[in-house]
Amino acid sequence: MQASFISNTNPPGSFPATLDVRTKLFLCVLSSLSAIILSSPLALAPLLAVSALYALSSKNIKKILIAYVVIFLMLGVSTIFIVLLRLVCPELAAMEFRNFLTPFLRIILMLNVVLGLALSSRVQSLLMALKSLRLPSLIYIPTSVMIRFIPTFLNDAKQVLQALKIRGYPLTPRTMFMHPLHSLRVLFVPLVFRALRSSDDLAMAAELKGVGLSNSIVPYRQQTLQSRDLAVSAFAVLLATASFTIQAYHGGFSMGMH
Amino acid sequence: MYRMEPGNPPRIIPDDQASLPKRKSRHWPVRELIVIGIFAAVVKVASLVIALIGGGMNPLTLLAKNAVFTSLLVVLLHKVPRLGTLTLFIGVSAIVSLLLMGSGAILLPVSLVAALLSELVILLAGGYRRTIGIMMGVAVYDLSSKGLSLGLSWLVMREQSALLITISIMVAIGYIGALIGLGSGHLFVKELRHAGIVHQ
Repeated sequence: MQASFISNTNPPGSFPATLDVRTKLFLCVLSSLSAIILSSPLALAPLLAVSALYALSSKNIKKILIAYVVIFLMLGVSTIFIVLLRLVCPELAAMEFRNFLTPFLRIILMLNVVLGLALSSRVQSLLMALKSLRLPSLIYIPTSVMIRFIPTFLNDAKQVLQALKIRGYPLTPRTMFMHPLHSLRVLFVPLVFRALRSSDDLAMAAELKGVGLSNSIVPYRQQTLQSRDLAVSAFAVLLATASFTIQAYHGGFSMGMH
Repeated sequence: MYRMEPGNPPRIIPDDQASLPKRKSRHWPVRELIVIGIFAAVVKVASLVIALIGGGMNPLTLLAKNAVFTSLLVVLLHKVPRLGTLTLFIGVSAIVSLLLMGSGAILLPVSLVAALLSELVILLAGGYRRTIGIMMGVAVYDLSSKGLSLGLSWLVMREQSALLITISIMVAIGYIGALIGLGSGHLFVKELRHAGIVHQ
Protein backbone atom coordinates (compact mmCIF):
# COMPACT_ATOMS: atom_id res chain seq x y z
CA MET A 1 0.00 0.00 0.00
CA GLN A 2 1.56 3.23 -1.08
CA ALA A 3 -0.48 5.07 1.51
CA SER A 4 1.38 3.19 4.20
CA PHE A 5 4.86 2.62 2.96
CA ILE A 6 5.95 4.87 0.13
CA SER A 7 6.49 8.59 0.31
CA ASN A 8 5.42 9.93 -3.09
CA THR A 9 5.82 8.16 -6.41
CA ASN A 10 2.68 8.75 -8.41
CA PRO A 11 3.16 7.92 -12.07
CA PRO A 12 2.55 10.87 -14.40
CA GLY A 13 -1.03 11.12 -15.68
CA SER A 14 -2.54 9.18 -12.79
CA PHE A 15 -6.18 10.28 -12.49
CA PRO A 16 -6.79 9.24 -8.83
CA ALA A 17 -3.67 11.23 -7.84
CA THR A 18 -5.38 14.43 -8.98
CA LEU A 19 -8.33 13.87 -6.64
CA ASP A 20 -8.58 14.92 -3.01
CA VAL A 21 -8.16 12.10 -0.46
CA ARG A 22 -11.62 12.85 0.96
CA THR A 23 -13.17 12.26 -2.47
CA LYS A 24 -11.40 8.90 -2.74
CA LEU A 25 -12.59 7.94 0.75
CA PHE A 26 -16.14 8.89 -0.23
CA LEU A 27 -15.87 6.64 -3.31
CA CYS A 28 -14.70 3.75 -1.07
CA VAL A 29 -17.62 4.15 1.33
CA LEU A 30 -20.19 4.56 -1.47
CA SER A 31 -18.89 1.46 -3.28
CA SER A 32 -18.86 -0.63 -0.07
CA LEU A 33 -22.49 0.27 0.64
CA SER A 34 -23.57 -0.33 -2.98
CA ALA A 35 -21.77 -3.68 -3.03
CA ILE A 36 -23.57 -4.81 0.12
CA ILE A 37 -27.05 -3.71 -1.02
CA LEU A 38 -26.97 -4.64 -4.72
CA SER A 39 -27.45 -8.32 -5.55
CA SER A 40 -28.10 -8.31 -9.31
CA PRO A 41 -25.04 -8.76 -11.60
CA LEU A 42 -26.72 -6.45 -14.10
CA ALA A 43 -26.95 -3.67 -11.50
CA LEU A 44 -23.37 -4.21 -10.37
CA ALA A 45 -22.01 -4.17 -13.95
CA PRO A 46 -21.94 -0.35 -14.53
CA LEU A 47 -20.29 0.29 -11.17
CA LEU A 48 -17.78 -2.45 -11.87
CA ALA A 49 -16.88 -1.09 -15.32
CA VAL A 50 -16.34 2.47 -14.10
CA SER A 51 -14.42 1.33 -11.00
CA ALA A 52 -12.11 -0.79 -13.19
CA LEU A 53 -11.39 2.27 -15.38
CA TYR A 54 -10.76 4.31 -12.20
CA ALA A 55 -8.27 1.74 -10.87
CA LEU A 56 -6.52 1.37 -14.22
CA SER A 57 -6.19 5.14 -14.54
CA SER A 58 -3.78 5.08 -11.59
CA LYS A 59 -1.24 3.67 -14.15
CA ASN A 60 0.05 1.01 -11.74
CA ILE A 61 -0.86 -1.93 -13.95
CA LYS A 62 1.61 -4.36 -12.31
CA LYS A 63 0.27 -3.84 -8.77
CA ILE A 64 -3.34 -4.03 -9.98
CA LEU A 65 -2.61 -7.32 -11.75
CA ILE A 66 -0.97 -8.75 -8.59
CA ALA A 67 -4.04 -7.81 -6.52
CA TYR A 68 -6.36 -9.41 -9.10
CA VAL A 69 -4.28 -12.62 -9.18
CA VAL A 70 -4.40 -12.86 -5.35
CA ILE A 71 -8.20 -12.41 -5.37
CA PHE A 72 -8.62 -15.00 -8.13
CA LEU A 73 -6.46 -17.47 -6.17
CA MET A 74 -8.50 -16.95 -2.98
CA LEU A 75 -11.79 -17.41 -4.81
CA GLY A 76 -10.36 -20.43 -6.65
CA VAL A 77 -9.49 -22.12 -3.34
CA SER A 78 -12.99 -21.40 -1.99
CA THR A 79 -14.59 -22.81 -5.17
CA ILE A 80 -12.50 -26.00 -4.90
CA PHE A 81 -13.75 -26.43 -1.32
CA ILE A 82 -17.36 -26.00 -2.51
CA VAL A 83 -16.88 -28.62 -5.21
CA LEU A 84 -15.45 -31.01 -2.58
CA LEU A 85 -18.31 -30.17 -0.24
CA ARG A 86 -20.83 -30.90 -3.00
CA LEU A 87 -19.26 -34.31 -3.52
CA VAL A 88 -19.73 -35.09 0.18
CA CYS A 89 -23.07 -33.38 0.76
CA PRO A 90 -24.86 -32.38 -2.51
CA GLU A 91 -27.83 -30.63 -0.89
CA LEU A 92 -25.61 -28.21 1.07
CA ALA A 93 -23.86 -26.38 -1.78
CA ALA A 94 -25.72 -25.23 -4.89
CA MET A 95 -23.52 -25.05 -8.00
CA GLU A 96 -25.23 -22.22 -9.85
CA PHE A 97 -23.09 -19.81 -11.84
CA ARG A 98 -25.03 -16.73 -10.66
CA ASN A 99 -24.42 -17.65 -7.02
CA PHE A 100 -20.68 -17.47 -7.62
CA LEU A 101 -20.80 -14.44 -9.90
CA THR A 102 -22.42 -11.88 -7.56
CA PRO A 103 -20.04 -12.25 -4.56
CA PHE A 104 -17.12 -12.19 -7.01
CA LEU A 105 -18.36 -8.95 -8.63
CA ARG A 106 -18.81 -7.34 -5.20
CA ILE A 107 -15.24 -8.17 -4.17
CA ILE A 108 -13.81 -6.88 -7.46
CA LEU A 109 -15.79 -3.63 -7.14
CA MET A 110 -14.44 -2.95 -3.65
CA LEU A 111 -10.93 -3.92 -4.72
CA ASN A 112 -10.96 -1.43 -7.63
CA VAL A 113 -11.84 1.61 -5.51
CA VAL A 114 -9.43 0.60 -2.74
CA LEU A 115 -6.59 0.27 -5.26
CA GLY A 116 -7.42 3.72 -6.59
CA LEU A 117 -7.03 5.12 -3.06
CA ALA A 118 -4.04 3.09 -1.95
CA LEU A 119 -1.91 3.50 -5.08
CA SER A 120 -2.24 7.28 -5.25
CA SER A 121 -2.43 8.65 -1.69
CA ARG A 122 0.35 9.76 0.63
CA VAL A 123 0.36 9.30 4.40
CA GLN A 124 0.60 13.07 4.86
CA SER A 125 -2.51 13.62 2.74
CA LEU A 126 -4.44 11.09 4.80
CA LEU A 127 -3.37 12.80 8.02
CA MET A 128 -4.41 16.18 6.67
CA ALA A 129 -7.74 14.74 5.54
CA LEU A 130 -8.28 13.42 9.07
CA LYS A 131 -7.48 16.82 10.52
CA SER A 132 -9.84 18.56 8.10
CA LEU A 133 -12.68 16.23 9.12
CA ARG A 134 -12.58 18.04 12.51
CA LEU A 135 -12.39 14.80 14.47
CA PRO A 136 -11.99 15.17 18.25
CA SER A 137 -8.44 14.82 19.61
CA LEU A 138 -9.59 11.59 21.25
CA ILE A 139 -9.71 10.02 17.78
CA TYR A 140 -7.33 12.22 15.81
CA ILE A 141 -4.24 11.73 18.03
CA PRO A 142 -4.20 7.89 18.18
CA THR A 143 -5.16 7.63 14.50
CA SER A 144 -2.33 9.96 13.44
CA VAL A 145 0.14 8.12 15.68
CA MET A 146 -0.94 4.80 14.22
CA ILE A 147 -0.67 5.88 10.58
CA ARG A 148 2.66 7.59 11.24
CA PHE A 149 4.16 4.63 13.11
CA ILE A 150 3.18 1.70 10.88
CA PRO A 151 6.20 2.26 8.57
CA THR A 152 8.48 2.81 11.62
CA PHE A 153 7.41 -0.47 13.21
CA LEU A 154 7.76 -2.30 9.92
CA ASN A 155 11.35 -1.06 9.91
CA ASP A 156 11.76 -2.23 13.52
CA ALA A 157 10.38 -5.67 12.62
CA LYS A 158 12.86 -5.82 9.74
CA GLN A 159 15.71 -4.98 12.13
CA VAL A 160 14.57 -7.67 14.60
CA LEU A 161 14.48 -10.23 11.77
CA GLN A 162 17.98 -9.19 10.63
CA ALA A 163 19.29 -9.45 14.23
CA LEU A 164 17.85 -12.97 14.47
CA LYS A 165 19.51 -13.88 11.19
CA ILE A 166 22.88 -12.60 12.44
CA ARG A 167 22.49 -14.66 15.62
CA GLY A 168 21.89 -17.77 13.50
CA TYR A 169 18.12 -18.02 13.88
CA PRO A 170 16.56 -16.99 10.56
CA LEU A 171 12.77 -16.87 10.73
CA THR A 172 11.37 -18.74 7.74
CA PRO A 173 8.04 -20.52 7.08
CA ARG A 174 9.83 -23.77 8.01
CA THR A 175 11.10 -22.54 11.42
CA MET A 176 7.71 -20.97 12.06
CA PHE A 177 6.07 -24.34 11.40
CA MET A 178 8.62 -26.41 13.37
CA HIS A 179 8.95 -24.07 16.39
CA PRO A 180 5.91 -21.76 16.39
CA LEU A 181 6.06 -20.70 20.05
CA HIS A 182 9.78 -19.99 20.01
CA SER A 183 9.47 -18.06 16.72
CA LEU A 184 6.67 -15.94 18.12
CA ARG A 185 8.60 -15.24 21.30
CA VAL A 186 11.78 -14.04 19.59
CA LEU A 187 9.84 -11.78 17.23
CA PHE A 188 7.03 -10.56 19.42
CA VAL A 189 8.80 -9.71 22.70
CA PRO A 190 11.36 -7.24 21.22
CA LEU A 191 8.58 -5.59 19.20
CA VAL A 192 6.42 -5.03 22.29
CA PHE A 193 9.31 -3.63 24.31
CA ARG A 194 10.19 -1.36 21.43
CA ALA A 195 6.55 -0.22 21.21
CA LEU A 196 6.34 0.55 24.92
CA ARG A 197 9.57 2.51 24.79
CA SER A 198 8.44 4.44 21.71
CA SER A 199 5.12 5.27 23.33
CA ASP A 200 6.88 6.70 26.40
CA ASP A 201 9.28 8.79 24.26
CA LEU A 202 6.52 10.03 21.99
CA ALA A 203 4.19 10.84 24.88
CA MET A 204 6.87 12.98 26.53
CA ALA A 205 7.57 14.78 23.25
CA ALA A 206 3.86 15.36 22.65
CA GLU A 207 3.29 16.74 26.15
CA LEU A 208 6.24 19.11 25.77
CA LYS A 209 4.91 20.33 22.43
CA GLY A 210 1.43 20.85 23.89
CA VAL A 211 -0.28 18.42 21.54
CA GLY A 212 -3.99 18.18 22.28
CA LEU A 213 -4.06 21.48 24.17
CA SER A 214 -4.44 23.85 21.25
CA ASN A 215 -6.84 23.97 18.32
CA SER A 216 -5.04 26.80 16.58
CA ILE A 217 -2.54 24.65 14.65
CA VAL A 218 -2.47 25.76 11.01
CA PRO A 219 -1.59 23.14 8.36
CA TYR A 220 1.39 23.83 6.11
CA ARG A 221 -0.69 23.19 2.98
CA GLN A 222 -4.47 23.71 2.94
CA GLN A 223 -6.56 20.98 1.34
CA THR A 224 -9.50 22.28 -0.65
CA LEU A 225 -12.02 20.38 -2.72
CA GLN A 226 -11.68 21.28 -6.41
CA SER A 227 -14.47 21.30 -8.99
CA ARG A 228 -13.03 18.02 -10.30
CA ASP A 229 -13.68 16.39 -6.87
CA LEU A 230 -17.26 17.61 -6.79
CA ALA A 231 -17.84 16.40 -10.37
CA VAL A 232 -16.44 12.94 -9.60
CA SER A 233 -18.53 12.66 -6.40
CA ALA A 234 -21.69 13.74 -8.24
CA PHE A 235 -20.97 11.25 -11.05
CA ALA A 236 -20.45 8.47 -8.48
CA VAL A 237 -23.76 9.26 -6.78
CA LEU A 238 -25.56 9.32 -10.16
CA LEU A 239 -24.00 6.00 -11.15
CA ALA A 240 -24.97 4.40 -7.83
CA THR A 241 -28.53 5.72 -8.28
CA ALA A 242 -28.66 4.23 -11.79
CA SER A 243 -27.47 0.88 -10.42
CA PHE A 244 -30.13 0.93 -7.70
CA THR A 245 -32.76 1.70 -10.37
CA ILE A 246 -31.58 -1.26 -12.48
CA GLN A 247 -31.72 -3.43 -9.36
CA ALA A 248 -35.28 -2.27 -8.62
CA TYR A 249 -36.45 -3.09 -12.16
CA HIS A 250 -34.55 -6.33 -12.74
CA GLY A 251 -33.40 -7.74 -9.44
CA GLY A 252 -35.88 -6.46 -6.87
CA PHE A 253 -34.82 -5.38 -3.38
CA SER A 254 -35.14 -8.68 -1.56
CA MET A 255 -31.36 -8.47 -0.88
CA GLY A 256 -31.16 -12.13 -1.80
CA MET A 257 -33.03 -13.20 1.35
CA HIS A 258 -35.54 -15.62 -0.10
CA MET B 1 -2.33 26.81 52.33
CA TYR B 2 -1.88 28.47 48.91
CA ARG B 3 -2.78 26.75 45.70
CA MET B 4 -1.97 28.13 42.23
CA GLU B 5 -4.48 27.42 39.48
CA PRO B 6 -3.93 28.36 35.80
CA GLY B 7 -5.58 31.66 34.93
CA ASN B 8 -6.62 32.38 38.53
CA PRO B 9 -4.86 34.36 41.26
CA PRO B 10 -3.48 32.35 44.21
CA ARG B 11 -6.13 31.72 46.83
CA ILE B 12 -6.25 30.21 50.26
CA ILE B 13 -7.54 26.65 50.41
CA PRO B 14 -8.50 25.25 53.83
CA ASP B 15 -6.32 22.35 54.98
CA ASP B 16 -9.24 19.88 55.00
CA GLN B 17 -9.99 20.64 51.31
CA ALA B 18 -6.34 20.63 50.33
CA SER B 19 -5.90 17.12 51.62
CA LEU B 20 -8.83 15.78 49.57
CA PRO B 21 -7.85 13.63 46.56
CA LYS B 22 -8.07 15.45 43.24
CA ARG B 23 -11.11 14.66 41.06
CA LYS B 24 -10.26 12.23 38.29
CA SER B 25 -10.08 14.07 34.97
CA ARG B 26 -12.73 13.18 32.41
CA HIS B 27 -10.32 14.02 29.57
CA TRP B 28 -7.94 11.47 28.14
CA PRO B 29 -4.28 12.33 28.74
CA VAL B 30 -2.27 12.60 25.52
CA ARG B 31 0.12 9.97 26.91
CA GLU B 32 -2.63 7.33 26.99
CA LEU B 33 -3.96 8.27 23.54
CA ILE B 34 -0.45 7.81 22.15
CA VAL B 35 -0.10 4.38 23.80
CA ILE B 36 -3.39 3.33 22.17
CA GLY B 37 -2.20 4.55 18.74
CA ILE B 38 1.16 2.81 19.09
CA PHE B 39 -0.45 -0.50 20.08
CA ALA B 40 -2.86 -0.26 17.16
CA ALA B 41 0.16 0.15 14.85
CA VAL B 42 2.00 -2.78 16.48
CA VAL B 43 -1.04 -5.04 16.03
CA LYS B 44 -1.18 -4.22 12.31
CA VAL B 45 2.56 -4.74 11.82
CA ALA B 46 2.66 -7.99 13.85
CA SER B 47 -0.25 -9.42 11.82
CA LEU B 48 1.46 -8.47 8.56
CA VAL B 49 4.85 -9.89 9.61
CA ILE B 50 3.30 -13.17 10.83
CA ALA B 51 1.41 -13.56 7.56
CA LEU B 52 4.59 -12.87 5.56
CA ILE B 53 6.84 -15.21 7.57
CA GLY B 54 4.22 -17.93 7.83
CA GLY B 55 3.73 -18.04 4.06
CA GLY B 56 0.22 -16.57 3.88
CA MET B 57 -2.90 -17.17 5.91
CA ASN B 58 -2.74 -20.86 6.80
CA PRO B 59 -4.24 -22.34 10.03
CA LEU B 60 -0.95 -21.94 11.90
CA THR B 61 -0.50 -18.27 11.03
CA LEU B 62 -4.18 -17.68 11.83
CA LEU B 63 -3.63 -19.13 15.30
CA ALA B 64 -0.47 -17.06 15.75
CA LYS B 65 -2.03 -13.83 14.45
CA ASN B 66 -5.03 -14.08 16.75
CA ALA B 67 -2.87 -15.09 19.72
CA VAL B 68 -0.64 -12.04 19.19
CA PHE B 69 -3.62 -9.70 18.74
CA THR B 70 -5.27 -10.89 21.96
CA SER B 71 -2.00 -10.80 23.92
CA LEU B 72 -1.34 -7.23 22.81
CA LEU B 73 -4.89 -6.24 23.68
CA VAL B 74 -4.51 -7.69 27.19
CA VAL B 75 -1.21 -5.79 27.64
CA LEU B 76 -2.79 -2.54 26.38
CA LEU B 77 -5.79 -2.82 28.71
CA HIS B 78 -3.43 -3.31 31.66
CA LYS B 79 -1.25 -0.39 30.53
CA VAL B 80 -4.24 1.97 30.03
CA PRO B 81 -6.87 0.74 32.53
CA ARG B 82 -9.60 3.23 31.69
CA LEU B 83 -13.22 2.78 30.64
CA GLY B 84 -13.40 3.17 26.86
CA THR B 85 -9.85 2.04 26.07
CA LEU B 86 -11.03 -1.07 24.23
CA THR B 87 -13.64 0.85 22.23
CA LEU B 88 -11.16 3.57 21.33
CA PHE B 89 -8.51 1.04 20.27
CA ILE B 90 -10.98 -0.87 18.11
CA GLY B 91 -12.43 2.35 16.68
CA VAL B 92 -9.01 3.72 15.76
CA SER B 93 -7.92 0.43 14.15
CA ALA B 94 -11.17 0.27 12.17
CA ILE B 95 -10.85 3.90 11.02
CA VAL B 96 -7.31 3.31 9.78
CA SER B 97 -8.37 0.09 8.01
CA LEU B 98 -11.12 2.11 6.38
CA LEU B 99 -8.74 4.89 5.35
CA LEU B 100 -5.86 2.74 4.12
CA MET B 101 -7.61 -0.33 2.81
CA GLY B 102 -11.24 0.67 2.38
CA SER B 103 -12.22 -2.47 4.26
CA GLY B 104 -14.34 -1.70 7.24
CA ALA B 105 -16.93 0.80 6.06
CA ILE B 106 -19.38 -1.85 7.16
CA LEU B 107 -17.15 -3.54 9.74
CA LEU B 108 -16.63 -0.29 11.71
CA PRO B 109 -20.09 -0.26 13.37
CA VAL B 110 -19.92 -4.01 13.94
CA SER B 111 -16.54 -3.73 15.69
CA LEU B 112 -17.80 -0.84 17.79
CA VAL B 113 -20.88 -2.78 18.89
CA ALA B 114 -18.67 -5.73 19.88
CA ALA B 115 -16.31 -3.40 21.76
CA LEU B 116 -19.17 -1.71 23.65
CA LEU B 117 -20.54 -5.12 24.63
CA SER B 118 -17.09 -6.06 25.93
CA GLU B 119 -16.84 -2.81 27.92
CA LEU B 120 -20.12 -3.75 29.59
CA VAL B 121 -18.78 -7.22 30.43
CA ILE B 122 -15.60 -5.66 31.87
CA LEU B 123 -17.70 -3.30 34.01
CA LEU B 124 -19.86 -6.15 35.29
CA ALA B 125 -16.79 -8.25 36.04
CA GLY B 126 -15.21 -5.64 38.29
CA GLY B 127 -13.83 -3.02 35.91
CA TYR B 128 -10.42 -2.39 34.38
CA ARG B 129 -8.68 -2.72 37.73
CA ARG B 130 -9.31 -6.46 37.85
CA THR B 131 -7.45 -8.85 35.56
CA ILE B 132 -10.41 -11.23 35.40
CA GLY B 133 -12.61 -8.42 34.06
CA ILE B 134 -10.11 -7.58 31.33
CA MET B 135 -9.69 -11.24 30.34
CA MET B 136 -13.45 -11.78 30.15
CA GLY B 137 -13.94 -8.57 28.17
CA VAL B 138 -11.29 -9.51 25.61
CA ALA B 139 -12.72 -13.03 25.25
CA VAL B 140 -16.22 -11.61 24.72
CA TYR B 141 -14.88 -9.05 22.23
CA ASP B 142 -13.19 -11.73 20.13
CA LEU B 143 -16.28 -13.93 20.15
CA SER B 144 -18.79 -11.18 19.38
CA SER B 145 -16.70 -9.44 16.71
CA LYS B 146 -16.02 -12.71 14.92
CA GLY B 147 -19.68 -13.71 15.12
CA LEU B 148 -20.89 -10.36 13.81
CA SER B 149 -18.27 -10.38 11.04
CA LEU B 150 -19.48 -13.80 9.95
CA GLY B 151 -22.98 -12.35 9.79
CA LEU B 152 -21.70 -9.59 7.50
CA SER B 153 -19.84 -12.13 5.36
CA TRP B 154 -23.15 -13.91 4.92
CA LEU B 155 -24.60 -10.62 3.63
CA VAL B 156 -21.84 -10.35 1.00
CA MET B 157 -21.96 -14.01 -0.03
CA ARG B 158 -25.64 -14.68 0.59
CA GLU B 159 -26.15 -16.10 -2.91
CA GLN B 160 -23.63 -18.89 -2.24
CA SER B 161 -23.69 -19.38 1.51
CA ALA B 162 -21.64 -22.57 1.20
CA LEU B 163 -18.63 -20.28 0.74
CA LEU B 164 -19.13 -19.39 4.39
CA ILE B 165 -18.32 -22.92 5.58
CA THR B 166 -14.61 -22.53 4.80
CA ILE B 167 -14.60 -19.06 6.34
CA SER B 168 -16.37 -20.27 9.49
CA ILE B 169 -13.76 -23.00 10.00
CA MET B 170 -10.98 -20.43 9.62
CA VAL B 171 -12.72 -18.09 12.08
CA ALA B 172 -13.11 -20.94 14.59
CA ILE B 173 -9.38 -21.68 14.32
CA GLY B 174 -8.75 -17.98 14.83
CA TYR B 175 -10.82 -17.96 18.00
CA ILE B 176 -8.79 -20.88 19.41
CA GLY B 177 -5.73 -18.70 18.78
CA ALA B 178 -7.42 -15.82 20.60
CA LEU B 179 -8.04 -18.02 23.64
CA ILE B 180 -4.36 -19.07 23.61
CA GLY B 181 -3.49 -15.36 23.40
CA LEU B 182 -5.44 -14.67 26.59
CA GLY B 183 -3.12 -16.99 28.51
CA SER B 184 0.07 -15.69 26.89
CA GLY B 185 -1.09 -12.09 27.38
CA HIS B 186 -1.63 -12.75 31.08
CA LEU B 187 1.88 -14.20 31.39
CA PHE B 188 3.28 -11.25 29.48
CA VAL B 189 1.56 -8.75 31.77
CA LYS B 190 3.06 -10.54 34.79
CA GLU B 191 6.54 -10.15 33.29
CA LEU B 192 5.94 -6.49 32.39
CA ARG B 193 4.63 -5.81 35.89
CA HIS B 194 7.72 -7.47 37.32
CA ALA B 195 9.88 -5.26 35.07
CA GLY B 196 7.98 -2.17 36.25
CA ILE B 197 6.63 -1.32 32.78
CA VAL B 198 2.99 -2.05 33.66
CA HIS B 199 2.10 -0.58 37.04
CA GLN B 200 -1.36 -1.99 37.58
